[in-house]
Amino acid sequence: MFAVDTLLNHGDTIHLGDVLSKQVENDNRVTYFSAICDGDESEADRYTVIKKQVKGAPENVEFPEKSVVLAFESNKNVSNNVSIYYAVPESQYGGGD
Amino acid sequence: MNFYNAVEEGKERNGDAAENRPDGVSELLENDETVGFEEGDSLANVGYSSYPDDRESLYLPNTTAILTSIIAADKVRDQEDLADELGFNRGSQTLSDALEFHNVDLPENVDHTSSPYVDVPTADGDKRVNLREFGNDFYTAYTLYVAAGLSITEISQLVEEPEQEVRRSLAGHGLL
Repeated sequence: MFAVDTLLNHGDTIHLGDVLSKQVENDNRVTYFSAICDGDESEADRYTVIKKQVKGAPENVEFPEKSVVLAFESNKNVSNNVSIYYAVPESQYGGGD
Repeated sequence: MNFYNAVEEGKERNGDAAENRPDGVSELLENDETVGFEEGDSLANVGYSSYPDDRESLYLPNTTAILTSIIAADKVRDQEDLADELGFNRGSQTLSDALEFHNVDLPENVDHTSSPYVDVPTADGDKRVNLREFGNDFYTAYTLYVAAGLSITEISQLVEEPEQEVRRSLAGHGLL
């Protein structure tokens, strides 16, 4: 097992295994992500963190194939305005169609 | 058809397009690739509706191929052209960061003037002409109007000169 403890920033890279437990904290528009993952960190897959802005109340929110939703933060001052952090495996970035 | 008969046929149609034209003339005229979002045909491997339009979509896996295909277009010379094609601000830092993220290189040492040379289909194969020489060069005018059978309107769009100027040039070359 290994621990992940990081700020979530759009475009950053993180290592993830099977997430056994996770915790998210939001503080002044900064999102902290902590998790315990199964496996060895040196063999864990690399992921790109992407931030999705969701406004309104969409019926369906889509994510790329094999992506993992990490956290979400809501804007307390604006209703129906949520940011979702998710991670896409780097193996999905092949330059193909 | 010999040279003199071809010229006479051109005079008879008085600026209209020839009825029978060489293969490839349509493709020459239909090339509508223009830099700019929703201007002409898309320069990418996908349509405009699939272009990345925000910070999130600029980082998605399929965006690598979209950026690469736009940059591969001859008309895209630098990041400003790429930004224009995508509909982003020219100085967009978000776009710069995304290019770095996808490890996509921009063209280097490109000529910022578009090439005036085109290959014009004729019955005797493709003939290369300099569009900027249309008004002065008989060969260019003959190739476009007589050999390829283009109309004055079509030539006007190709050489980017008013139709009356094209008509005047053709008349000056003795082709009308």
